[in-house]
Amino acid sequence: MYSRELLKGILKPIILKLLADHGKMYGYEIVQHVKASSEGKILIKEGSLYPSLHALTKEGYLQTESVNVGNRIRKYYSLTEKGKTVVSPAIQEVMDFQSTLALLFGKSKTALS
Amino acid sequence: MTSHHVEHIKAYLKSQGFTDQELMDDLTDHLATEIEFSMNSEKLDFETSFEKAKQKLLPNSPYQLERDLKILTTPKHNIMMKKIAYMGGFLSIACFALAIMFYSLTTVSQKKSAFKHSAAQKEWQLKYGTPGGVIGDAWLKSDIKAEYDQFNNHLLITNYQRFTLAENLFIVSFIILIVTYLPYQFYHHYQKSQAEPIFS
Repeated sequence: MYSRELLKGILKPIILKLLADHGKMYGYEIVQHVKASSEGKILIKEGSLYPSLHALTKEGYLQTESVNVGNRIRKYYSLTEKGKTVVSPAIQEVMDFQSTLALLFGKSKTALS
Repeated sequence: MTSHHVEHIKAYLKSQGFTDQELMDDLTDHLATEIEFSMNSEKLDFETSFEKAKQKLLPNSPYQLERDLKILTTPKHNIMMKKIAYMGGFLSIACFALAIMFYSLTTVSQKKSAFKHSAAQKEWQLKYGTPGGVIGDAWLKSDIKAEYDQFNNHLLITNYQRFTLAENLFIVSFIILIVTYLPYQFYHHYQKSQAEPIFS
């Protein structure tokens, strides 16, 4: 499992990419999906997820749809038109950063793992 | 999960200090989904599942979540407003304290003048006889009285200046408070009230 500090910077691109691929998702679903896809290496804490989701919503990149599920409200998050435009640049930035890190730490797998 | 269980989760979040309704909805659903998973897969009762979910999902200080959210979503102008409010609050208190100091000095000086007057009369009585007797016109024309009058005139001018300064500082202190600190406090409480339902 990677440290919280390491995941902080890439949480927003992860959320944007997931929503671009799946349309709409709720918080618990995002956490479980990331955990499964990363083979348990990336565990998003709720303390990081919801502040990021709300911040992205306030900035106009995400929109919410509230659905009543068994006596409670479930909020589904999806990309707005503005949000769709930033998915590619956000992913590209992370990939560039990954390449730069490879330059910095050496390209061998052991150096990065 | 029953509506009573959901209310129990909401009540817990409120007891932890949460006020952001949107965040509370998200966390209630998140905790409820985790609890349902525990109740179904591990056949645990609600209370045990709730305790497990709290430990697994929430940080040691759950309200930290709302604080983080506020930091992330607070617009820059809000931060600037807060800075101005704190600076304004500080300046207002500083001016108020200085005003009280100058006002106190004025009062102390008045007392000092009264003491000086009594002391001068006593000195005159000792110097020119009739200690404890009647003070007549000779006192009014004496050099000791002249010296006291000079001292008193100087004190009156200084006191007037100090009193005017205290008066101005009081006004400045209130103006700063009204213009900077009070609007921020009202805005802050207004924001808080938005997060709470008007009718419970």
